[in-house]
Amino acid sequence: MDLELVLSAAALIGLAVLIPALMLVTAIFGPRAKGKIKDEAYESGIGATIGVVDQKFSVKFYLLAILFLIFDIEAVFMYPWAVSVRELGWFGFIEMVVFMLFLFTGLIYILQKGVLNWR
Amino acid sequence: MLFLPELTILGAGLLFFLLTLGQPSEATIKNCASAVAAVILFTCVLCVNQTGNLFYGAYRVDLFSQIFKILIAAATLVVFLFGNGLKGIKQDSRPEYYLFLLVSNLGLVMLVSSVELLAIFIALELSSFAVYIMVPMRTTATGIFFQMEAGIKYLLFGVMATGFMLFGMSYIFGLTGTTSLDGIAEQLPILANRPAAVVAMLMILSGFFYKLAIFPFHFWVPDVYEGAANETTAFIAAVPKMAAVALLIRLTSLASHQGEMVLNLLMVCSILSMFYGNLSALVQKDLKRMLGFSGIAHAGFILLGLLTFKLTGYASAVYYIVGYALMNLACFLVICQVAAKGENLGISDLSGLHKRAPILALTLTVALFSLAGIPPFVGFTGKFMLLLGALREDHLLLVTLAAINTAIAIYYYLSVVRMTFCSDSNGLGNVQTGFLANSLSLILVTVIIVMGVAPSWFVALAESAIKTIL
Amino acid sequence: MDQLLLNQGFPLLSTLIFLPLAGSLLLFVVRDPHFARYWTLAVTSIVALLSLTLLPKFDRDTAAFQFAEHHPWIESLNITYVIGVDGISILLILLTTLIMPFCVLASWTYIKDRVPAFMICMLIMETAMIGVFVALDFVLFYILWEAMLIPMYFLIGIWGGPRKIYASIKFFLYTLAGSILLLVAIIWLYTANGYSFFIPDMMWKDYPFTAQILLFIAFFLAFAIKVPMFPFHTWLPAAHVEAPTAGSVILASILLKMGTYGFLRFALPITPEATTTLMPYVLWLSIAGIIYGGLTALAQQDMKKLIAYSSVGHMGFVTLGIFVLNIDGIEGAILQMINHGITTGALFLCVGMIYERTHSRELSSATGIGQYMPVFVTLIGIFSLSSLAFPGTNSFVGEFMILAGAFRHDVPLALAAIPGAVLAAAYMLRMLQKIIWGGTNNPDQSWLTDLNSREIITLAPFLFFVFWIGLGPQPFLAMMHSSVVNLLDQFHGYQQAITAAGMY
Repeated sequence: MDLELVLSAAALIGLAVLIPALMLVTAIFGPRAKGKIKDEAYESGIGATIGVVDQKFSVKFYLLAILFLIFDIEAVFMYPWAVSVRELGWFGFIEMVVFMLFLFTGLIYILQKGVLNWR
Repeated sequence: MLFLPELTILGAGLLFFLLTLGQPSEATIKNCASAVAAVILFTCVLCVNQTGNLFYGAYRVDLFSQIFKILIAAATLVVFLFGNGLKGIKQDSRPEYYLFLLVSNLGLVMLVSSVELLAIFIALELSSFAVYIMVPMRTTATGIFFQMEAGIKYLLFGVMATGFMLFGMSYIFGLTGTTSLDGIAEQLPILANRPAAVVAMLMILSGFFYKLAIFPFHFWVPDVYEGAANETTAFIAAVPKMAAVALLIRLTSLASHQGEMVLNLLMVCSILSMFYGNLSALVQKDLKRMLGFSGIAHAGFILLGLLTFKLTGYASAVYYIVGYALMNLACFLVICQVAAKGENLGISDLSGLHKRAPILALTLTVALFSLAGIPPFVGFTGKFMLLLGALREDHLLLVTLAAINTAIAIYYYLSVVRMTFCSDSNGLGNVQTGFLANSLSLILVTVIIVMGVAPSWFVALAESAIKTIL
Repeated sequence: MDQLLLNQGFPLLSTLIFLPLAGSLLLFVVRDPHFARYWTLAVTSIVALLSLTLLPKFDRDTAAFQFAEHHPWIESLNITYVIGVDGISILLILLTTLIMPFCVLASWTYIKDRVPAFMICMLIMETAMIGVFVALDFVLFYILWEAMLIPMYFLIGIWGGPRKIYASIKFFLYTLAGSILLLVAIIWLYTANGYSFFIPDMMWKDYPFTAQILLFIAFFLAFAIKVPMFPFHTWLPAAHVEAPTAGSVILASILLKMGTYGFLRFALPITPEATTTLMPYVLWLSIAGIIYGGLTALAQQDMKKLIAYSSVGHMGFVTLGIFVLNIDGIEGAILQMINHGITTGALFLCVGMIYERTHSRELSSATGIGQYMPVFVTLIGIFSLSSLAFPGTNSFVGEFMILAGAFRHDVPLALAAIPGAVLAAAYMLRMLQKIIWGGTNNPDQSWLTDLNSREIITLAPFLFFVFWIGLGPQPFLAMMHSSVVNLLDQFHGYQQAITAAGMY
């Protein structure tokens, strides 16, 4: 039998056994503390999210989400390029660098305006 | 070379982008703005005789588009010159303001050259979104806090209008199988009276009715005019309307084969715009709001020229919108100068202007009489040519109603003139006007009078431009 | 085009039109009131003298338009710059140009602030007024007709009396609303006449009857408001009373004549069939104006308002004369236009002189001044006699001819007009009696100064013309004769053609 196959199978089975086992052990033997606030679901510090209409919502969450979207889409655009980078050669490379530079200037703008400081 | 004006505007925008990253001084920003606007105008004039197709036929450069680019660039230059320090905009947003104005300009310039549905959509959105952001950029130092409300209203109405337009575009694509305006022009007469085609064309037109402020799509006008800064309102009142008229000419020449339905709808929109605008303006106390409502009425007038579906009607509509832009720019020049801190002017704030600032009073009076349609100014000649074109197509009732509207409009223009000339200053101080503002006002007054008395040159130019697209 | 006799040599009419406008341009940069007054006096006097040179070269035997000039203006719309005078308009032009210098003289001390602006308004008005009377292209006519509104609005609105805002807006809105339908009529005629705005080509054409009626109504509204005829006259007392003296004189002497000129030049020749059909209504409306004007004037305590209502009555006589459509009526009407211009202009000047002294237009504050201002009451007495059509004065000739024409047309009509003449006598003599002698408790007028030489010079020419036209009207009648005869010949010829074609 292939050494590769044996080793990979062993690794996989090990992980499949080890991880649940560790989780079980920490759940049984680990420290336990309960509290009202600890048991709440984490919502970035915003309290009840059901049923409240006029709660003030800090706009920096929204801004961060938009920025994430923009740079994530940039990454998404890089995937097709990454797949066909050999066919596109140097020309494609330069084009991709130009695209990244456009978004990079956007990043400079964001940095300059201090948007990324969590005020 | 074909794309040179657009590249120049783009470059100017990038220049201002770089300025936003630093801490430039007032004078630098002001001078850069005037300089780039002049350079843009120069390149547009340089490229006026270019013809060609770009982007696989989605973008066409011809005499029609180049002339409109010159007009848009000239109007932007005037706005920059009398904006002059941008008193109404937040201190630290001034470079961004210019950036967005230039981006909007780029969008409008691309709009007049677009001959493909999606290119039209992209350009329209580019120009609109930049202005959506410009509207709330008003300083709160004057105690005005509703600029954000105005911005939201503009955004929501605009997005809805764009939604309509896109829906119509999708129908047209479905019916004709092509998004290029040339292809549609070939296919549409065959489909002429199908309800789907008619509804689709009307929905596409509605996107531009929003920009031009025609009756059912005008609801944003009074609040945005009042809430935005004086310079922003000057831009919104003059420049996007010219691009909207250019596109409407392209689109109505497509819709002309669709028969009675489109014609009737255009007539109804025209009449309702005129009456609504004029009657609402009668009771306004804020000057910019009044100018907004009067803009709705004038848009109704322009529609008169467009619904003739003939070359002369289109040429008159172009002449009128250029004259309208001039008259409005003159009014807003006076508003920007008199409102020293960028606040909103009521009509009573103009009292005694003839003593406080004689040249500004003269400019405002000439512009208002021209808007009212009194000879020998450009407003009268424009109205006359539009009525002539409409009566040639036997729309007697329409012409009579338009004439009645002229009479209604006189009253509110006269009340402003009365404040300016016939009343005393009531303790309001003198208005400081620099050499630039004075010379710009005199130039505008001269052009208004000259265009009114000798319109032939401009009308011939407009006709030769429109011939290239019909 | 054969209706025009083209001008050779110096373009006199264009100079007359544009010289005041050119003169006003200098005043935009002038601040000194004295210079403004002298400069305007000079410009208006030059224009007046130039207009007098029209007289010797004017051919009295032709009805064509003389001194005509024809230049293309806006070719794409076929709008041409074409002007010319004929017998009907020449007298009106001379009235305009000759009255203007005296208006300037009358405003010498009346207007104290913003004098250059006032003079600019006067000069632009002169351009517009002369232009209206000579324009032969409908768009040119309309532009000048409307262009007159702006200076008049400023004249009343800036230098006027206590209710100037109300009066100026009323004047502007009324006149503009009236002329809006005129614009639609002009465009309709343009499309119906092979895309031309040339007025003589539009006359005596066979338009369909409904179209003629609608056109006549459009013309009627515009011109009846200007004249002013009975139900549309309410702007006149307000505007006259609140305007400064020179403004009132221009308004009364010249602006009102534009309405009747419009009837003669446009309503009669372009819509003859409608004129014949609607004539009785217009005639009885004129009678109503005469009687109404007379009765209302009789009740006035304000001198200017009294003269304003008397204008309504007098212009009623003029429209009566025009619409009886015979030679006596029309010639009398045109002559009466000139007479009214002279007489009422002079009366307004006189009232202005009292106002400058007492600062009140009330009759009760001007009673009994005969003892202290003998020259003045002589002059106002003569002008009042002229206004009530006393024989020997100019209005008598005009009114007599109008009544003769009315009698020839329809006797009950003329009988209905007679009480108007009686009423004119009544209100004028009442005003005169109060001014000269008053009653038993007159206010103390001993501080009043009589007329100075400037004021006498201002009134003297009016006096001269009152007696010249009154005693020897023949030269004036001769000038208008051929044009009026031509108008009536064409009119009757048209009527006969219609009757022969059986369309009546």
